[in-house]
Amino acid sequence: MSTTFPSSAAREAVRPAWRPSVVRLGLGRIVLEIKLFNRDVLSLVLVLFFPILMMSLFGTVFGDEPEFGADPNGQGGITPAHYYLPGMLALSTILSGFQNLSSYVATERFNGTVKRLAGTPLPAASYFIGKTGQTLYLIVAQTALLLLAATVLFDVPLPREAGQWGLMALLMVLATAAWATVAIAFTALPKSAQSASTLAVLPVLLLSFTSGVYFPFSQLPDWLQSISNFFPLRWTASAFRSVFLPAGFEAVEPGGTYNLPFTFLVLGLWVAAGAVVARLAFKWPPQK
Amino acid sequence: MNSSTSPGQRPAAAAITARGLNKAYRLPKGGTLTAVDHLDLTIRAGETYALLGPNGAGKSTTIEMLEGHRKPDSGEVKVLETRPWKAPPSFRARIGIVLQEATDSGELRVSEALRSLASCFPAPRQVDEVIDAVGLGRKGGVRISTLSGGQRRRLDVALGIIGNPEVLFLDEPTTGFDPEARRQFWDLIRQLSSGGTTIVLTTHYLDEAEQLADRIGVINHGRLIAEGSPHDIGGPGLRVPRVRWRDASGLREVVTEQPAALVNSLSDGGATEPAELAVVRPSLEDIYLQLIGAADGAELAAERTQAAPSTSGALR
Repeated sequence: MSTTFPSSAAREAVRPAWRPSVVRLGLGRIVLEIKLFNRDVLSLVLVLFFPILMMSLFGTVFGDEPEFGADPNGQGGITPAHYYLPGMLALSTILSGFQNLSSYVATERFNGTVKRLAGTPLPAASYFIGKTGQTLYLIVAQTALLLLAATVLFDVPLPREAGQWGLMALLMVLATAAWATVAIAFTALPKSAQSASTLAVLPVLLLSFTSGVYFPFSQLPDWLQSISNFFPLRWTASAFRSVFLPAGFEAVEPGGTYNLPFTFLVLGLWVAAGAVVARLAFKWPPQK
Repeated sequence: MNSSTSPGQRPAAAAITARGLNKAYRLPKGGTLTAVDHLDLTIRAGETYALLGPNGAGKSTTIEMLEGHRKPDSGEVKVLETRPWKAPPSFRARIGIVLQEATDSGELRVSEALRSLASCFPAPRQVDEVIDAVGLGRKGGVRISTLSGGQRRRLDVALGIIGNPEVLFLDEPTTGFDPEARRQFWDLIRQLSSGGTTIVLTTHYLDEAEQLADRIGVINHGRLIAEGSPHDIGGPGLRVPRVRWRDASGLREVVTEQPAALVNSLSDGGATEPAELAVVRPSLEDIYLQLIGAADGAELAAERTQAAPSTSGALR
C-alpha cells in the first residue's frame, strides 16, 4: 500500500445537475449480469438447460412413436417430444422470469450487492435494465436451444409461418415479463438468502404440475383447473400448444379452444399488477 | 468567481452536520428500540473522525443515516450540504461507502468489480492504481470468491474509494485483519486523509482510533457522550496519572496529580525501590471504558477499570 493517489489532488467538484446515463450504465450492467450468469454452473443446469433435460427425458421415457393424441386407428398422433415442447417453452418463461430472477435479486438483497450499488450514483433503473437484459438473454438462449434440440434430436416439426414465430416471440416476452415483475415483488418476502432460493422453487414446482406442462390440462380435476386459471403458466402453455401442435388438438383444451385473446388478457393483467406491486415492494436503498 | 470567497481562506467548513437526530426501530414483538437519540454531530471537511461505542450503541445506524442508507425519524442531517436520504446521484458521486460486511459479486474478478463500479462515477480513480493502493496488486484477475478475508476487506475499501469520494464512510473496516494488514490499512487511510478526503469510521479498536482520528466521538445508547481529540477526550479529570506498586498488603494503586512526589516519598527519596513500581497515564482504552461505564453507572465503571488495565488494544 505504498502508492499515493495522484488523482485525489486533481478532484473536481461534481456539478449538482450531474446525472449518470441510465441507458449506458444499464447496458454495462447487462454485460456484467450475463457474465455472472454464465459463470454460475448451478443456474446453467437448473434454469437454462432444465427444459431441454425434461424434454429429453420425456422423449426417451415415452419413446419416439407418434402415438400422443392419435385416433383409435392410430392415426394423427404426434411424438412425446413434440407434445411436450410447448409445455417446456412455457416452463422456461417461469424458470427464467421467476425462479432465476427472484433468487438472484433476493440473494443480492442479502449479500450486500443492492446496498453497495444503492450507495453509488447507479440509478435503480439501470440495475433493472441489467436484470431485464439477463432475463432476455436467458429466454432467447433457452428458446433457441430448446427448439434446436427438439428439431435435431427428436425431429419435431417447427412452425413454418412467420405469424406463428411472431406469436411465439410475443408470448415468450410477455409471459416472462409477467413472471419477472412478480419475481421482484416476491423478493420482499424472504427473510434470508437461503430461504429466498428455496421459496423461489416452490411456485415453479407446484404450478408446473397444475398448468398442463407435464400432464394434459383437461385431465386435472375442475377445482385445480380453476385455481391454475388464475396464473399465467396455464395460459402460456396452452398458447404455445396452439403454435406447435397440429390442428385438432385444441379439442382437448377446456372449451375446445386455445382461447388466445384471454391468454393475452391474463398475461397483460399480471404484467400490470406485478409492476405495481414490485414498485411498492422493492426498496432502493434497501431498508431493514 | 467572487473574490471575497477564495477557497484557501475559508475556515474549514463542516462536511457533515447532524442536529437532533433520532432513529427508533420497531421490535418484532412490539415496543420500540431507540437506536439513535437526539444526536448532534459536526465533522469538519478533511477531518478523520472515529465513532466509538459498544455493540448496539447506534454507531452503524448513525453512519447509515449519514450515508443516506437509512431514513432518520426526525432531526436534520447534512452531508456536503445535502440531505443524504434520497439524495440525487451527484451527491452519491461525492461519497464513498465501505459496508460493514459484504459477500457480493463472488463470481466477478477483482478488476471487473472495480471497473463496473467505476463506470457509475463521473471522475473515478484508475482501477489499477486503486488495486495497487489497497495492496491487491497481483490479484486483479482473481475471482472475488477466492480472496481471503483480509483481501476481501481490502477490496471493499477499494470499492469504496474507486469513485474518488470527498467523504469516505467506513463501518468497522479492519475487523478480522491481522496486525500487519491493519497497519497497512492505516497507511492507506492516512494517504486518503492527506489527499483531503473527509473520513468517518466506526471501530472497536481504540488503538485504531488513536492512530487515525483527528477527533473521536463516543456513542452510548444512541447519544454522543464524549467528543474530542485522542489526547484530550474525556477531559483532564479522566487523565489523572496512577502510581502502582506492590507492598506487604499486595498491589496498590493511587490516583494522584503529583505522581513524582508520591514516588519520591515511597522510595524515601530514591533510597529504596518499591516492587513493581509504575506511573501510568490512563490509556485511551481506560478513558473510553470510564466514559462508557459512567454512562452505565459508576460502580460498573470501577469494576471495568480494574478488569482492563492500561494496555490499549481491542475491546473485549
